[in-house]
Amino acid sequence: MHAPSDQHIDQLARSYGEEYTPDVEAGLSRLHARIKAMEGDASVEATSSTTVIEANGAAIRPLAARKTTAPLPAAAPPRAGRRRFFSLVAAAAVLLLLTVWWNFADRDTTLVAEGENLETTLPDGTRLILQDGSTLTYAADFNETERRVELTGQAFFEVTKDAARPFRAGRAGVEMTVTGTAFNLRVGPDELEVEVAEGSVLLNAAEGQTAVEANQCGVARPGEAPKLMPAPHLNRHAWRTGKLSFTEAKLADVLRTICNNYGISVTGAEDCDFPVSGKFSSRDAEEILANIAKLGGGKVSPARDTPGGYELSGLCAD
Amino acid sequence: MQRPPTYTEATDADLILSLRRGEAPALDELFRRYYVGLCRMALRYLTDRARCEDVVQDFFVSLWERRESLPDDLNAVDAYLRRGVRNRCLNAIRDRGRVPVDEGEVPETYAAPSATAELENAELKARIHAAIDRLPDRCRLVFTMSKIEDMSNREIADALDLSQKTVENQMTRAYKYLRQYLAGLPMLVIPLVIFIIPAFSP
Repeated sequence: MHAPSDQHIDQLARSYGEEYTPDVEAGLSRLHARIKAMEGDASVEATSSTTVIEANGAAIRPLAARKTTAPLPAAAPPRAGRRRFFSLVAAAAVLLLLTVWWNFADRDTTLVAEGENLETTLPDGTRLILQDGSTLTYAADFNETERRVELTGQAFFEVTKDAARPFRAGRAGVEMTVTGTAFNLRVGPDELEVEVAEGSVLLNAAEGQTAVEANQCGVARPGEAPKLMPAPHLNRHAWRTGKLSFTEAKLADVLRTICNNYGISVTGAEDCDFPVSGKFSSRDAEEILANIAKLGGGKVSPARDTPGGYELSGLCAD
Repeated sequence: MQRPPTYTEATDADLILSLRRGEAPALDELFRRYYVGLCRMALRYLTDRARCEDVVQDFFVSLWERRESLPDDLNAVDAYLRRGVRNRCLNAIRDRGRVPVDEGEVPETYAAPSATAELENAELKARIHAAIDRLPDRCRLVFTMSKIEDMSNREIADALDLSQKTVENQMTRAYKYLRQYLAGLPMLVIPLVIFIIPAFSP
């Protein structure tokens, strides 16, 4: 077998990465947004500092030249008293301005789903269904140059198209980017899992990058490159749609999907494996587990010592 | 020197002068001319496309911020921009503690079954690129910095804070893996390979 020479390899390698062609106009509008944001911050900072300077010079300046919202006294107190009063007023004005600026400039919004799924819309029009027990956070500058959210738990997103402001979600070294699509995202302590219904999503980790297309599922764990799996039935959307469908799936995979999806734990199937096929339509995890257990000739019962846990018994019994 | 009628017709050096004077369209024109090239270069260091675009855009923001103090005798604007973006990439790698560590073995070669019966140079190229993608991070970084960015082993060692010996080792591994990967072709295609490759040998 003929192996290529080093020079041949070099020649072929030269064009590595040339298929990558970012959208220039989209990049340009993001650049404008960044510059505007940067100049906006700078001018606010200038205002606060200018106020401080004005406050320090208040004693020397004539009254008419200074802008302040505080009312001035009608009677004229003695000179020393007047100077102290004006510096107090100026200090209050500075404090007021800083508080107002800080409040508007630095506020995060956190959405929490407690007791049931939370259905809402984000400021850019993105439709969000947050699973019970999950939280989503976004900053005050959410739709300025990009749309960044932080999720703990699981949610379904229908993202409004905006190539100039990419939608980003992620955590600890793994991040996904979309420009307009519908997908289910689950962020757990050790992994990030995205199952795409429509469009496509880019999963980025330090170790690698993968595009996840419709009817695929991408999983990223720290220290590994993202992995891709086919997901023809969009089973990971089941917590929201109530629909699961399996075709000759391994029992272990089925149980893992159900556990991750419904937030439960299941024991009793460690030594058993049988192919699971069928459509399940229920938001009740126990009902689905009962049907699956039946396939293996067994049954399910709530685990006594574990809340949200279930025990399978009698599977693969001969 | 007379100012050119439009920005699209201006030389790079003139655009820098316009930029110094605070003319925003000059920044836009430079951006349009160099964005794709700079992003492609950044991709060799950062592997993350979104981050590449962020880094290049941040660079242009800083160009605008310090427009008044840009050099007024800039000849090779291209090289100036590339140097700026490259430094940002290297800083990003270093600061985030992201200089890739040695993960041990290169991955198993994987013979991707080819549906097509022909093997052209284009497909060889595609395979090499796929193989480069699969190199361990440190190995790939060293390889692309050497063969595409044309950096010397010494420069790479300095930039990534490695010994020159390590750089040489990584290059050896890279070639070994790439050759192995190219060689791992399905049985169907081998006769054709034997026929075609000699046609391309130097």
